[in-house]
Amino acid sequence: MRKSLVSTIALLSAILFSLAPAHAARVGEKAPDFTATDSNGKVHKLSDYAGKLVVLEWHNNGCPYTRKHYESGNMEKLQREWTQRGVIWLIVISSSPGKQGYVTAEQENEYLRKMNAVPTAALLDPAGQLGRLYGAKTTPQMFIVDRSGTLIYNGAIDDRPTNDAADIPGARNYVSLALEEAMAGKPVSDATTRPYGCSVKYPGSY
Amino acid sequence: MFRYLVLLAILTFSQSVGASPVAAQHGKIDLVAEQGSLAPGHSIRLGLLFDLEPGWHIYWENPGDSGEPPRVEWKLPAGFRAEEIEWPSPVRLGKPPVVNYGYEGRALLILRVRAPANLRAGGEATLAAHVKWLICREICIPEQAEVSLTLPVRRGAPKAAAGSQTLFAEASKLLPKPLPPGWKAEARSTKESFVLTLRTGARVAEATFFPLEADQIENASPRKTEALAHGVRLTLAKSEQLLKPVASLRGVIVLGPGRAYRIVAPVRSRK
Repeated sequence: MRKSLVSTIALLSAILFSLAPAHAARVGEKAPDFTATDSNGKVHKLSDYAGKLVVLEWHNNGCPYTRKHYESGNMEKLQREWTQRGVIWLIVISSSPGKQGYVTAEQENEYLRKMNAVPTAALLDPAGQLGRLYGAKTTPQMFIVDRSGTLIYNGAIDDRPTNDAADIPGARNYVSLALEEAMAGKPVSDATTRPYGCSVKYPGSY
Repeated sequence: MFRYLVLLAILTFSQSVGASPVAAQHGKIDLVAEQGSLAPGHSIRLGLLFDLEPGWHIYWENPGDSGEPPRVEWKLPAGFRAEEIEWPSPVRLGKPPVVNYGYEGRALLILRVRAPANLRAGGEATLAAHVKWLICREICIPEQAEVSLTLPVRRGAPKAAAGSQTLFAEASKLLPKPLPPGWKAEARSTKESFVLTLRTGARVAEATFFPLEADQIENASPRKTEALAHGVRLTLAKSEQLLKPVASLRGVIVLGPGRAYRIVAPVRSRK
């Protein structure tokens, strides 16, 4: 019963995604709504988080650039700080089965435990629909949706496009800066930056 | 068979000046010199030679939608100066929505190193570098290696060494050249695209543009190429990350093998 419910939801979301606009999500425009299932089987709909700030973090646990921010504890620290301040933090995993970063729900939960990571949820997107809807190209790549549902940030986590954890301390963290500004009711100064990292491992990607 | 090819590759390397390739994951790297010696006040050409396993690639100075170019930290004797890498023209890699610019197979990244005028002839000098690079196929692996090269210091302009000549001559063909006299590149900006026109005086059927700036054009978008009676016109979709008006499109345009040119195309706005 539960399984058929999940597959019905998967089908519905597939239909929803197929209506997606041709161009990727753009800063200043309404963030595309989506429905996706997390690693605990819970369904998340972006519009359910109206009134809150939402961070989307594209993730691949084998990517050296993702590992830079996880093995140093940087990403977990950001997740802890911002979820404690009321932000919804959603990891999105768009690696397709057989490709780097693809995980089952159990594997993801084990990873989150091991890393002491505390996102609100980890969304599993093995068909890459959510990734394509937002035009996610790299891991990590960060998006922020404001309380009114507008996309206010799309880009890199910081201004040091390397896979070296030694570069984290001096880096300008665009996500924290954007969230601080959004919380203070200010416009985001660096709203679009160039994401860096590994390519998102979409089906048929390379 | 494969082992034989590896052996052949090693034999080939051993003919270039420097030849002591360092094995890394999915490829080898070496520091080689075009000339067989150094001389006070003279420069020589060095090359970082990457020899990659089939299917693996490294990145151009603008890597495109993901990835990272190789980075070099030089360890040179006092007074030596290393110039910037002259990047050979890259190829397009990957497929939409993620398109990259880089190199497969063998790539020689050439640069000049100048010896100080007060260098004493008769001895030798060791040029070394710590190189970090990202090598990718379906996955990416950060790699690093120490490479070095010891050359004798002699008087008089250094001469090309026989073993390195072919390697550097072949690699030099891939270096983008300045536009020939009389050729002209210009662009105009429309709402969604840049329309880049290259006038060469003759019809050009094929052209690929590689942007040097990361945030100007959408790497993965299809490009329209139109042959003109006196050149070629490319329509390039604007990047989603393009925030400010662009004064010029800088990059490399490739018209065919050995025909890569550096361009700076001023951009005019017109509806």
